[in-house]
Amino acid sequence: MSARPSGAACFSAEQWFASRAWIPHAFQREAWRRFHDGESGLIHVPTGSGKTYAAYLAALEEVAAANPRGAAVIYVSPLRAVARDIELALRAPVEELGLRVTVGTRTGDTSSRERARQREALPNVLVTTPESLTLVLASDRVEEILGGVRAVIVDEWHELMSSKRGVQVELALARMREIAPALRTWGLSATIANIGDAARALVGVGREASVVHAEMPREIDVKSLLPDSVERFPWAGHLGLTMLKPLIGWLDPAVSTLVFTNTRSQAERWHAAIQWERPEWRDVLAIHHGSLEREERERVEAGLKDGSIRIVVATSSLDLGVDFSPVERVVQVGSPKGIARLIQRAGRSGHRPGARCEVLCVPTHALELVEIAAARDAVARREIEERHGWRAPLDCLVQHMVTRALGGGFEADALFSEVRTTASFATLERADFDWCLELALCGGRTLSSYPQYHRIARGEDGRYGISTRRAAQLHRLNIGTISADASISVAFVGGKRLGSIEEGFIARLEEGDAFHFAGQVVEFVRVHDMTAWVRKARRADLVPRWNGARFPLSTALAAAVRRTLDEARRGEFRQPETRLAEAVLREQIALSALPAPDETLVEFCESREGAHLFVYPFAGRLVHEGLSVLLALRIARLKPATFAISMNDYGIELFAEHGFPFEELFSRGLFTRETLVADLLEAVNLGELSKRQFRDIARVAGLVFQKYPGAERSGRQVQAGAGLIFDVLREFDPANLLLRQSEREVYERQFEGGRLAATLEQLECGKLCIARPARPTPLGLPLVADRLGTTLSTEGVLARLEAIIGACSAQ
Amino acid sequence: MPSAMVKLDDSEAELMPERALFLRGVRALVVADLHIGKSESYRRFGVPSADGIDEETLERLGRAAMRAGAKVIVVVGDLTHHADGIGEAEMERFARFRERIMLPIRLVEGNHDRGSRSLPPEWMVDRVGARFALGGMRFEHEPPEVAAANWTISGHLHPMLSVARGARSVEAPAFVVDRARKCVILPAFSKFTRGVRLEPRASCELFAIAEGTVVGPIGGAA
Repeated sequence: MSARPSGAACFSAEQWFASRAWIPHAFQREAWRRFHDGESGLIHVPTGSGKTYAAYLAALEEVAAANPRGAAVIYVSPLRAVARDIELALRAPVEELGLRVTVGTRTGDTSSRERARQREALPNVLVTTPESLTLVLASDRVEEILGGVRAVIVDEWHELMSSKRGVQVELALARMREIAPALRTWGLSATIANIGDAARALVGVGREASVVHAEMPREIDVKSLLPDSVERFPWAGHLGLTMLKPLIGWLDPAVSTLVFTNTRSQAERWHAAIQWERPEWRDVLAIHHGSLEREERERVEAGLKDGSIRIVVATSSLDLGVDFSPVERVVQVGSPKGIARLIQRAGRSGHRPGARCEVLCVPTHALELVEIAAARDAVARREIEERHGWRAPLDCLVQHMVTRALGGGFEADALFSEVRTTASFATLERADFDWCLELALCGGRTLSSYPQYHRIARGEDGRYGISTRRAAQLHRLNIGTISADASISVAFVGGKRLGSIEEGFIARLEEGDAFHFAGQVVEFVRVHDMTAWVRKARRADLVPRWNGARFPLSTALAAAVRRTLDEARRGEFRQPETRLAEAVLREQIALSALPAPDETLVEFCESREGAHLFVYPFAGRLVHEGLSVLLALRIARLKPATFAISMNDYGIELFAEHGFPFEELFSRGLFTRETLVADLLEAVNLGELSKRQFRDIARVAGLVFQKYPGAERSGRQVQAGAGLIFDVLREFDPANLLLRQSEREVYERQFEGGRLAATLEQLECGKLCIARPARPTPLGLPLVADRLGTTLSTEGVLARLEAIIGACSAQ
Repeated sequence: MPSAMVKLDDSEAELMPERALFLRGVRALVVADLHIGKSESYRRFGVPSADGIDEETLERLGRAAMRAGAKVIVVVGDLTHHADGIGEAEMERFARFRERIMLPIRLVEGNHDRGSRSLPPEWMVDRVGARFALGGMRFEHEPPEVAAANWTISGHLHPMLSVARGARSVEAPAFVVDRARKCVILPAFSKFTRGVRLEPRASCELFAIAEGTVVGPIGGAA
């Protein structure tokens, strides 16, 4: 960006549209008017319909007229990758009319030269990410830099609002409302059910939030690729390749196609299988997911746009940024797990105006047939999910405090009031706020003797500022870590970086183990300098597993699944998928039962393996995770035991040794909500849940630094899993604040939308349908097959060890 | 009796729940992988870690030595974790331990020890190189590939028993007695370690430590 272009000072959106022979949509005109009237809110429209200009052009009219210095419009996108495309779109009117307005981008990819230039003055129109916006807030001249901002436009707010990056945006907006008097905030969102909540989160507590709707319904066809018969079709698992050959028969490299999967491992697996079957597609077939190197992802996106790449196997990493790479056909492998996601993915297809959009669903196991049939019904009824933001995530607050300490310092009382204007922290208690302040001040007990954890300091005037230059440097380096995975790099020995992978997967590898990654087969060599070094290999037997990457079944889709199962219960099989699954569903009825929509099915079963208790609330795997440990703990209190626990989107299984009297111990009282919080925390501590949460929290709160100046040289003696650190803290410092927060976060997440409490209420007071099948049923088998080694025990190590030895020698 | 006894040729060895091995004949307490200062190393790199780990390690070492009535302590490698983890507090702590436990300490060097500078003289640790022999036993940090004429006592691998049956699973630090290789592998003495997970197998006997008791043999030909 050179000196400001000279030219026309005045700009009119209407005239510019007319000059291009475009006619503004009613919603665009409405958005422009509302912006000029000083309103803030949300523009709620389907993808690809001009919402960017709806939000932007009125602000540009103001900016062109006022001719300000520095940032006036900030456009926040969750994706760095599309920042360039957005900048081009925002620049178009400016260049065509020669406006005296500067447009620029600032993301993690921006060069240091460009950054240095921006330090003088930001461009008038700035495209950025939540992380980079936060970095601007951490400047000591923040009031001067951002004081003149008139508009913040937040793209893909439906995605951002339910992540911690959304919390980061809320906190940044709260700050900006204090320093920029002319500020209006507008979000852009695809369809969600609770659009009012989304708008309110964006404008802050107690302010008027406008919503601009543009209903431009497109027909959506949900089709499916069906096996000839269900007999050879697996009943469980999610990687099943049974439908691979029919899918390959359907794919056509002449037609650009996105093949969506739900997990990164599934994407790797399907990409490898397609490539194996069709080596001649090598150049036109690609893979895209969030763990790949950015360069590789950008290559694929560019190839898709210019037509050199025709078929891309992708995860939700390609859900966003849809306006910039349309395709002709869309495939969904496995259940979409949510209605909004299916609609959004379907929306990528048939991008010609007025065209129907179509999505082909490929089931991977028998019960997914039911989910696809249910999804089609729900799409037709437009039963979209709600999205919920995080409630008061304290790790984000700690990070924000350090950011604010850097950005000119703060007074505790003023900051407390300010953060309470965000929807996320609206009900924050002062005690929790002070707890965070303490953490930022001295790091808690184990770290209090270490000056590097005293990140902020209280001045004599009572204001909090940053403690040292080193603390400032560390914080700036790590602001981006909210979104980062707990992962380490993967690179070829002496060569190119491929991406990153979860530490847990690498930890289980031995030298010579081969696995699929980035669409290639690689062999593990060793871990060194926080990088997993690999070389090319011929054959792979492993597909990396990424934790937590599986979406839970949404409430809306779960309700639709229950309706579909109820039809089957009444002997109705009206959709092609349910007709195919009829034999399986009839087997379920014969062995046990299918629940009516207001019932919960409970199965007691003694198999050759041992005793099983199955409960099917259909509340999604997150809720089931909490429910399963809670139920296990409460039963084990009645009779000491060790359970293997398994859960999926439909229900949970507790498994114990032969003869364990599940039925005798079972009662409605097990589902009471009275001691819920205390019991859940106890169960979480006995189980593994909080351990998994621990690492993320420690990192976001700035207690584990991912990037550490100079650490690249000699990080070897500190290579250990977060799990070990967690165990050590638990034994030697059980009061550690980080542990408390991991528990808290598990608790919050299980409580997402009150879904766990609602599920418990249903179990305690609603109807139960009790069955005693002779063997695990079609609904139960996936739980038996997917048991992942989560256990909960109220027996000691010695008792368990002796029981195992006893059982072994009895044989 | 929470310990377990094993015969190694003519020698009797007591496998102690403190994660130590006691050779009765020569009254030597043998331990491996103390990793003193590991916690400090982590903190210097910005990874939070707990206080009190080294304290507990040394307290347990002293307790084992007194309970057994040892005349000498042999450390088969990795007494310290890394030079940068030995700060003033660590120096001081070990010196205090030596005021209480004045037995001779022989250190067979492990991979971590090689990286560290010389130990402070007030620690009174006698570095004996990569190998050491006493009472017909060999001491070497890494387990030998093939059997020597005499039994070898090693560490390095931090063996853990990992076993599951039905819903029950256990992971616990373990001694490995490998009669074919004539070698005993000690569990890591430090609790701030993870190690090689071993399932019960026919080729060696495992002795696991659970709640202050040594349980075994698990697996092995018997």
